[in-house]
Amino acid sequence: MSTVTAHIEAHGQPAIAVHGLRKRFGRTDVLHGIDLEVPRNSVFGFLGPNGAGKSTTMKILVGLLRPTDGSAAVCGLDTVRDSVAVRASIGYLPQDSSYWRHLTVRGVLAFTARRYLDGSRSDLRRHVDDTIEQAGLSSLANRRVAKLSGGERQRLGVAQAWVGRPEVLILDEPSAGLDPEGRHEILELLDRLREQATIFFSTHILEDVERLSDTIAVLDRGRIVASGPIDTFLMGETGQYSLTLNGSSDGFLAALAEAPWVDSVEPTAETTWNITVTDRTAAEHLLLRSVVGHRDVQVVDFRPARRSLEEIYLELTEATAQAADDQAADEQGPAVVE
Amino acid sequence: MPASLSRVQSQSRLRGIGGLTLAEFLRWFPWRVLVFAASGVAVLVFARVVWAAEENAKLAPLLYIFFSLWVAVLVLSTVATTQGAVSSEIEEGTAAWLIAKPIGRPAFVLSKFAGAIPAVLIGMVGIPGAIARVVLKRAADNGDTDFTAAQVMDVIANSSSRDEYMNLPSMSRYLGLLALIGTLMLLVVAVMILLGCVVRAQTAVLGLGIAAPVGLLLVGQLAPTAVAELTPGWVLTSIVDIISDNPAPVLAPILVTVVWIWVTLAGAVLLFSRREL
Repeated sequence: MSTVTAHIEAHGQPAIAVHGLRKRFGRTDVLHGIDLEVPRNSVFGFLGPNGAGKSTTMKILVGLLRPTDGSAAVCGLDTVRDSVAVRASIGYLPQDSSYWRHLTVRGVLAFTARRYLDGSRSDLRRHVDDTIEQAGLSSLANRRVAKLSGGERQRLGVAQAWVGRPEVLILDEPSAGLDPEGRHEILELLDRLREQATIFFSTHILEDVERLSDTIAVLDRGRIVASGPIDTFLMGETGQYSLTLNGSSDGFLAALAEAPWVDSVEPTAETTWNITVTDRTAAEHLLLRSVVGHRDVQVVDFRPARRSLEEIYLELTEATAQAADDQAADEQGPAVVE
Repeated sequence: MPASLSRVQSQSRLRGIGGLTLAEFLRWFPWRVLVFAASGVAVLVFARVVWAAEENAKLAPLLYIFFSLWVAVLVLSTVATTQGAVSSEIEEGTAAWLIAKPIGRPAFVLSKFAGAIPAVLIGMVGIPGAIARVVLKRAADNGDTDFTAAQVMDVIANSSSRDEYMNLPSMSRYLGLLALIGTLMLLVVAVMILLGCVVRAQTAVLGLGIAAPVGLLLVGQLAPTAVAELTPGWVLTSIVDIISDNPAPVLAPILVTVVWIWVTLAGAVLLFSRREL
């Protein structure tokens, strides 16, 4: 058992814990004291517009940048004080991955594997071959890095992050710039790896986040504007359900609106209603039962009303932009009219 | 992960230095080393031709022409070759690729130097130096000079009859000259690594790398002896003295320069450890 694993099992820390993390480049504050916790064995989607500070946060976690203030820990180990040990537990894919151009795909993976793992030469070779196969790189194993396409390079990037079998994978936009097929392959690969490692990844592609993540955080202008389990995000904190009924439903709906766990009942179409609840557990127990118990109505469709992540994301980032504009206007003071 | 593999446990700041040094070594061998060896031989041929065109040619000018040209070519080609050792890795992102792995930053810097040592000592200095000795000896033996073989040895190995200055045998004196040149080249490599850790632009690294040996030469020539002998400029002065057939110490300037090499590398390690990638 590695020291890192022993450490986690003894203390039960989250895979990644960031507290009050600040980063300043010159006079520009890029991170304004962010807090973040990534549960172990989860897939954590890190969202935010360009320049929000996602890559900076990831680079701090990997030890490529030093925090101006605050702390960051991976597997319970401080990223500055225990830098080498932290990096032994991380596999990292940077946004623009670069490798020694003279190396082949197999060469990159063999070199990387030896940095993380001890064992006989033949065992390491077998392990590298397994990783090559897992990443779908078998036909490219002996190709030089310089001759890889963007998609192939990105798959190599994920493979080299994974070949050391780290406990945490930090992937900065793993599917950026790929065609739909390449993106699909990367997502498939990550889906296969989710059982074996904590995955912390950033992306602009909200569909990828919805597909892969258990938990997400939205970073905007160096501040975390929202974070939590993805279901909570999509359902909203209070919870909304879509109910489509047949029959005479007026009486039923009026009674439903009076229930203590119901906040509102709004029609969204002729026979469909959006029901907002204050207590999701009560709603899941009672809502459908109360409809089924009513003789005059039949349930055609019932499901949680999920908002799209794009809708939520735009709402959050626009709100932050508005707040920033207001603050800037306040700092400038009232316009002087001559 | 197969049960036969285990995670590497060491958390040393020198972690990974072995693998990185090997990778660096393989960048030098065989092509760069062959090019350096060939350029040394080319300088030798050039010097031989220039020397043969002289009437009443003596061997001493051949030595002077060859060694002064060769050292200049070595310094410039070392600067050109090592200008990107650190800076290009930072610029291209390969330094970040490496440092994101469990590799100590000091290991990254020191491996650049360690990987270059065999190439510098064997390929740059050893091979051309050995060839030069053979060619110079043949030039004397062929009778196209006034020198006998014994005189050639005296010029090459003893430089003069003032061996009491170093108390070295003749072959050792020649080897001493090569050791001085090798030490100077290692200093140039160390300085280029340091510059790569300080300066972002590769062209600036190149310019400063060319200026550094000139500065050293000036320090060695112009500074008061007591000061000059505390600097690596002393190595250059010794090289110039030996190829000018003057007595010169070998061991002391090498030791002083080795100290400077370590100081330079320590500075590079310190700066790179704080460098944001």
